[in-house]
Amino acid sequence: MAAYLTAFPDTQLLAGSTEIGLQVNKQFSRPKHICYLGNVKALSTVKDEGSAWTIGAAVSLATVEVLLADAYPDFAEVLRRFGSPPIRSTATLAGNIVNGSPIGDTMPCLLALGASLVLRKGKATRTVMLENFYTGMKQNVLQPSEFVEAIVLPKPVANQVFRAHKISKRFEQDISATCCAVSFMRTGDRMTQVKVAYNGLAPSPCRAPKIEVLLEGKSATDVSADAIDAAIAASFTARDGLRATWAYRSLVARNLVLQFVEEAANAAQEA
Amino acid sequence: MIGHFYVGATDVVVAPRASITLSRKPLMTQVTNTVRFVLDGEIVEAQGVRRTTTVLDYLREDLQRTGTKEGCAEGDCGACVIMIGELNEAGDAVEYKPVNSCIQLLPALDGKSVKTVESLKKSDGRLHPVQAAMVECHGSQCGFCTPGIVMSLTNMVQTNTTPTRKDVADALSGNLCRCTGYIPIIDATLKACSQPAADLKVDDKADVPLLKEIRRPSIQRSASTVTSSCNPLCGHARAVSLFRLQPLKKWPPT
Repeated sequence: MAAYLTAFPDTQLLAGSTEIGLQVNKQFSRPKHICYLGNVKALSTVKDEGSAWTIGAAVSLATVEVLLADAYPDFAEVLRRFGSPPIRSTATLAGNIVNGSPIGDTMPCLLALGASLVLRKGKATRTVMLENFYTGMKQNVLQPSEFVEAIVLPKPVANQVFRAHKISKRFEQDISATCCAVSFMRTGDRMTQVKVAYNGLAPSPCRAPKIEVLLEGKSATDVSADAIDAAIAASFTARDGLRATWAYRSLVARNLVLQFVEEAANAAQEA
Repeated sequence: MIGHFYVGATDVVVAPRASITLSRKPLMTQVTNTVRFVLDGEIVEAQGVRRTTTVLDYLREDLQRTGTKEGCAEGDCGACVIMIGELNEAGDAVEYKPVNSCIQLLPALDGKSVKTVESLKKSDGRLHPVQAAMVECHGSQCGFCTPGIVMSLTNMVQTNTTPTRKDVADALSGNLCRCTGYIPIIDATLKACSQPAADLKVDDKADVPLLKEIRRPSIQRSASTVTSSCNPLCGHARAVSLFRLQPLKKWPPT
């Protein structure tokens, strides 16, 4: 397959067909070459590497949902709300990532969890952190003939908290106003190694380093809504969109972080 | 426009046929313009069909399987839901998933099994329990969404024969019905699940050997052969089904 792509760099890769099928029906896309990944065994498997899973590019979201149900229940719920069973049964993480929509729902979760991508061109592979993958709106570092072979997703470790939630007008099958994912380590009542990621706030899904710095080393009681508001204002360009106004987006973006931090602190107290 | 598509069974590209013949032998290649799949105990070979043909269009326009409907043509409404089956690891049974046939392209069917709403009728003419319960519970009004709903539910009961109402709602989250309000449909599903589990299974005994027959071999060849030509019929000729048991029915029916 890698050789096929080298021979025909203009090949349209096809996995779940939930995006390409739309382009064919609605934009009359007629790619000259189509390369269907679904029967490529090496791309259709999940490898357990001990501390991480290597999820092949053609693995369906339905499979990932089952895989992550215990490890990252919030991620599994984001996947459940990603689309209906017929969509989840074919759509893939790699497809969501490479399509690179600003409101792609899996990317905030993957970014907060420190996922990386194995990119392959011919026989050569390289690994790129997902946070370094996007170069702009639907732009990425993939070279001609290069493709995503797998996603490397770290497994949860002791004292790690991972939370994610998607805000949309409908609960099922809708497009995000924003989806927020947060991961941190609990050290006593302090948060360390904080990662916060969003979609819907920028030209591509991205981390929010200013919020991360704000939370790093703090306990839940030290975190104020005003400080997060200021960090959001300093991080993103205010932009009203079809799915939500900026006022709404920035408000829920702040509230989701507050909620995740407070609930984690409460859960730790009860435990 | 001439092109081809890749439907590899391994991560290695296999050389295409260098020359074109119109023989009826299956084309055992990975770079191909032929798609083979199993439909209710027959192998269907789609050859020379435009590669962006959707599964829905192929079913409706070439195979006259018009029970499957087109609603939104973007994977939202679920009127086009069918079941796609693949051999399990052991190779002795078929595992199914529901798909929106309106956005699936024909190459994605290669080596797989297809079940449409027409597949559900039992050999003695009875309806599938999900269909029968839909009738009994008034789960269908205008009827346009019904085939897709029946397929989503039938797919669910292949693996979950004791669903909760929440399970049913999730299985139906991709099927829009603007008539019923869903309650009779959920009731119908639970009623169907009171039938013996064996009755809920789709009949695929005849499909298993055929799925093995059409499996593409995993042969490693030099990548340099990839650039040789593909079948010039691609994109021009109509689909041919070489193994069809029954002749195509005329449409509209007389």
